Formats: sequence, structure tokens, C-alpha cells
Amino acid sequence: MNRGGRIAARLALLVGSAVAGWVIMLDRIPVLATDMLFEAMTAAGARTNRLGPAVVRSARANKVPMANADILARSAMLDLSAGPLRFTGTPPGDKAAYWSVSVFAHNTDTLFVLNDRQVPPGRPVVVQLRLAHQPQPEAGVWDVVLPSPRGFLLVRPTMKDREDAAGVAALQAALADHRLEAWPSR
Amino acid sequence: MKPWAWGPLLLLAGLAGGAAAAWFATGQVDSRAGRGPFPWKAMAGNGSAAATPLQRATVARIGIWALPSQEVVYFNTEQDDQGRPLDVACAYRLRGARDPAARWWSIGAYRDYQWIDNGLNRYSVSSSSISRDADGGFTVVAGVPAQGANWLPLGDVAGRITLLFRLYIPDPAVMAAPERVPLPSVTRLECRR
Repeated sequence: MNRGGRIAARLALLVGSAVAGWVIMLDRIPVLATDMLFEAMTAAGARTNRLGPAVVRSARANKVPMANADILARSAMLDLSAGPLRFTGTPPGDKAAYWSVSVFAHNTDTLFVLNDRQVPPGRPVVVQLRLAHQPQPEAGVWDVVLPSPRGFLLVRPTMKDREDAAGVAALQAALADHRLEAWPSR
Repeated sequence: MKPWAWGPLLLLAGLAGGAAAAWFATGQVDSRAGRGPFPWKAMAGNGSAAATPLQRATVARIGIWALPSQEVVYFNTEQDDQGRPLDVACAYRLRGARDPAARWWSIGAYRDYQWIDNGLNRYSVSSSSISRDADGGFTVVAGVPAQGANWLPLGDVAGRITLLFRLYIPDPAVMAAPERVPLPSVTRLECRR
């Protein structure tokens, strides 16, 4: 190969590997972002497969970029390697401006969203979180299959006014029945 | 350098350069992308399988666990009505003549994509907490000095300021024609220099 050919080949290798680096990094960033947040949440006291408390957060306590400050979030880092989990919670009705439960894959893909207007009022929502090889739930239970053991569950009860202490307390009380547990019990 | 060493060196340099470029590109909102009434922009596909890899990675870094647009539409701006970057040294009036067609909405303020620390612990105003104008519209003042019940603090630490307008359970017309959504104007008032 002559000198011009060698330079062209090297340039092609550089550009090709840069494109590969770009594509690989874009693919990995959602997983990295999830892991970084999980580390920050763990350092702040959160535990895997435990639903966090519904507390009004401040700027100093919030870990999530561009989070909605009006959400009295209940969330859990998920690890299904030991078996399925089951979320149960009754939407709080008119105590919240909005309520939904959503499930995200390790790579942040949205796997499931269900809001309070999509379920009968006053009835608990039951969501089973499992891997494909784990047992399916019975009829009447929402079935969410995660592509890998790690994921994130986020309940978004939205405060009508986060500065209305009585309204926030009433919403917190209405969220007391929310739970996340191993299913079947282990 | 030995001729054989060029291959691995260029391969590593290319991979590292491409990865670094991807990291840099996903660290901030792309103000050129999306649709909406100026200066607001919303991206179609957020939180859904329709998102491009770049959009998906960007959302993961600066707005992780976003919901799909049938659930929430996110309009953001980092500019005022004149196209100037939002600045903590300035105050802004956000005036909305009417509510967008959605079940509930809120306007949040962020510095470098995080809540802005302030003594009131106030990071947003919403359709259910805002004080209305006599005509049914609304006016929010962001930045110093504190003004009125609908004051939204921007703090006094320099950084990238973003306003985020969330529409929960939006009417389907919102994403069909985001330019027509009646979002508030963002008018710069006085600046401290």
C-alpha cells in the first residue's frame, strides 16, 4: 500500500472507531445513569426492593435530575434476581392532582404506566414485576416483565400544593397502603 | 512509532473520542430540537420506544424516568422571548392567558438540571397551587426580587437555568400541534448587574 492509501486507511479506522465509540456510549449511558442514581440513592439510605417513604423533598435531598417537585414520590430500586415482586397500592382519589405507577428497565425504557383514571376508584392496583422465566400472576394482576433483573418502580402521587401541610399530610396518609413485597412470599 | 502500532492507537483514540463526544452531547438540552411555541420546545418520543438513541441517552442523564407523551408532555426553555439565555441575575414574567388542554400542569425551575435551593423550598408552581389573575389567566414571576404569590425562585448562583412546563394527561392535540399550545410568554424584567 502506498503512503496515500495508508493515510486513507488510518483515517477510515479513526472515523469508524469514533462512530463505534459514539454508538456504544449512547447505548450504555442510560444504564450508567441508572447505576449512578442507584448508588446515590443507596448512599442516602434507600434499599433495593423496598418502597421508599412519601416525603416532601428539598433541593438538598433530591438526587434525580429535573425531578417534579410536586410529586410525593414512592419509589424502589428493583432487583428481581431472587424472584418476582408485587406492588400493591390504592390511588389516593381527589387527594392528589394525579397518580400513576410506572416501571422502568435498567436501560430506562418505560415498561409500564398506569394512572388513577385507568382503574376503578377506591380499588387497589396490583402489579407483578418479574423476569420472563418467573411465574405469571393470576388474573386481575398487571403483569410486567423486565428484560433484566434490575429496574425501577416509581409511584407519582402529585401534590395539589406542596406548601399546604394539611393537604400533603392527607395525601401521605392515603399512600400508607402502598407496598412492595416478594411474591410469592420467600 | 512502529507501523503496526498505528492500528490499535487509532482504534482506541477513535473509540475514546466517539464516547467522549456522546457523553458531551447528552449532558444538556438540545435547544434546537423539538417543537413548541417559542421559546418552549417539546420532544416527541420522550420516555417511549420512539426516542432516538441520542434522545434516550440525553433524557437518561438530565430527565431520567420521563413518561411517554400520552401521559406527560414536557416543554422546556432556556431562553426568554427574545432568545436570550435565562440568567439568575434577571427576573422574568411568565404570563399565560389560559390553561393548556391537560388535566394538570406545572412549571418547574432548574439550575444545571437540579432544583434551585431556596428558603421556601419552592421549586415549581402548578395549576392547582397558582393564584389566578382576574381574567382567569396566570402570572408567575421568576427570579429576584420575590414578587407576589406566584414567585418562582431562581437563586443567585450562576448556572444553566431551565424552565420546564409539564402537561399531565394532555389533550391529544398537544403533541399533534405543539406550536399551538398556549404556553406562557417569558418576558425579561429588570436585571441586577
